[in-house]
Amino acid sequence: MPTTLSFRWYILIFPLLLFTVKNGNAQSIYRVGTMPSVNINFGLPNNWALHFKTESRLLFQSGQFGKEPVRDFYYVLSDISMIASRKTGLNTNLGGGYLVRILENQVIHRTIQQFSIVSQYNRFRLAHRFSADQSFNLNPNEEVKLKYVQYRLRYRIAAEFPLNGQSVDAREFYLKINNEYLYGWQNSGNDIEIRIVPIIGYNFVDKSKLELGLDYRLDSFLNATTRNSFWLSVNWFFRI
Amino acid sequence: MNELPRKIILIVLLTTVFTSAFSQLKYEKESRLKRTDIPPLANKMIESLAISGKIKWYSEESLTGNTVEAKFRYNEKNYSLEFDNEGNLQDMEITIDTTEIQENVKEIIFKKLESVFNKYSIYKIQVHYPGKNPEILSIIKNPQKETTNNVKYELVVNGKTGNTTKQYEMVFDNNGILTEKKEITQKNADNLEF
Repeated sequence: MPTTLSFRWYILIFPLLLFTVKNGNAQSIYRVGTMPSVNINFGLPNNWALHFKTESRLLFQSGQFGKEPVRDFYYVLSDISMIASRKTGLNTNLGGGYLVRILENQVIHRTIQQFSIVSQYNRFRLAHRFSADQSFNLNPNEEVKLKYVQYRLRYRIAAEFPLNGQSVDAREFYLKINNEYLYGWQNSGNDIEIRIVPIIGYNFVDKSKLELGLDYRLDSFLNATTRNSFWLSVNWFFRI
Repeated sequence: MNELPRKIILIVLLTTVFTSAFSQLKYEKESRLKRTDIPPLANKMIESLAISGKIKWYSEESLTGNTVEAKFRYNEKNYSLEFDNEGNLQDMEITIDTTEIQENVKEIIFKKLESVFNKYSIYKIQVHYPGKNPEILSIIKNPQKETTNNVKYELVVNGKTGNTTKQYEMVFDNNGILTEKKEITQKNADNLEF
């Protein structure tokens, strides 16, 4: 299939080039940490499902490229979300849900809408996810005095390659690569974020997978100081 | 044992047998085979074809047992040769498109699909040649337009019945008569969708 090879090159080379270009900016800041998540899916009748996710972020190091880093282990946030989804076709899924983000001094609420398409090719699976979310700060406090609404539009392409055989079977490893683009706006400001996530996963059985990889995020893209985030991503997916 | 539980068990058993007799679930698990694990007889047969491209060997586990498969691409066609564990050729599958099925057979197949599904699309078609006659390997170098007897067509079809779309593997004989229909269980995609 002619597009397969060109797609693979795109997914590996373009984001790496982008990272190289942005890394060259001495003003760029960075942060390093870990981001474990637990994802539990409950299958329901009539092609419905509930997806429950909890994710935390722990920061180990931050700083500016070319300068002495700040090494300080601290908890950043926790996300708890629930998405209700329905299979609308053999390969398509439509969902909507709610997320609560707990930070040290505030709680952010978010509504989520998403549509995904997963296609099976000869030796890999490709998924497109289109989503939108709206974030609210409903309880202003001394530190965050304003209520705000932030809107985001997101597109993610993800590919899963079996490392043994032509499909990912039980007790086999796989390689998954996500590339996501986010556009957000709030009041008069806007920003773009790019995410690249290469992951190695292990399929215990079809309904239980463990993944480990790097979640790289480049944001504050349109501002003078770009931010690079390197999160060690540990994800467990389980379906009941 | 009481009469009622016995009757219930019998009804459950009979129901299971009748509902599963024609439509079954497809199960296949394949893994790459090391060069040292390839049956020598099968390896020799493949080498005799002198295929220039890469040949991938797989061990395949299914409900009917374990087999060895050699897959390669030649003259813009995908071939799959299946062997038993001793290396004896079982069958050959070639991926084709709808234009390569005989017109009269194609018409019968499509009429059957229209009668089974409200809506359908064909994902893949393979023609199966039984492997008892090793001369079928000559088809690789000399593709023939006319099919021989005992050829089967295996279609992977996305079919909609009612409000539900599922994927099926459907096998038709050389006359276009449906002989087997299995539902293909979609693999969990939670890690791709969320």
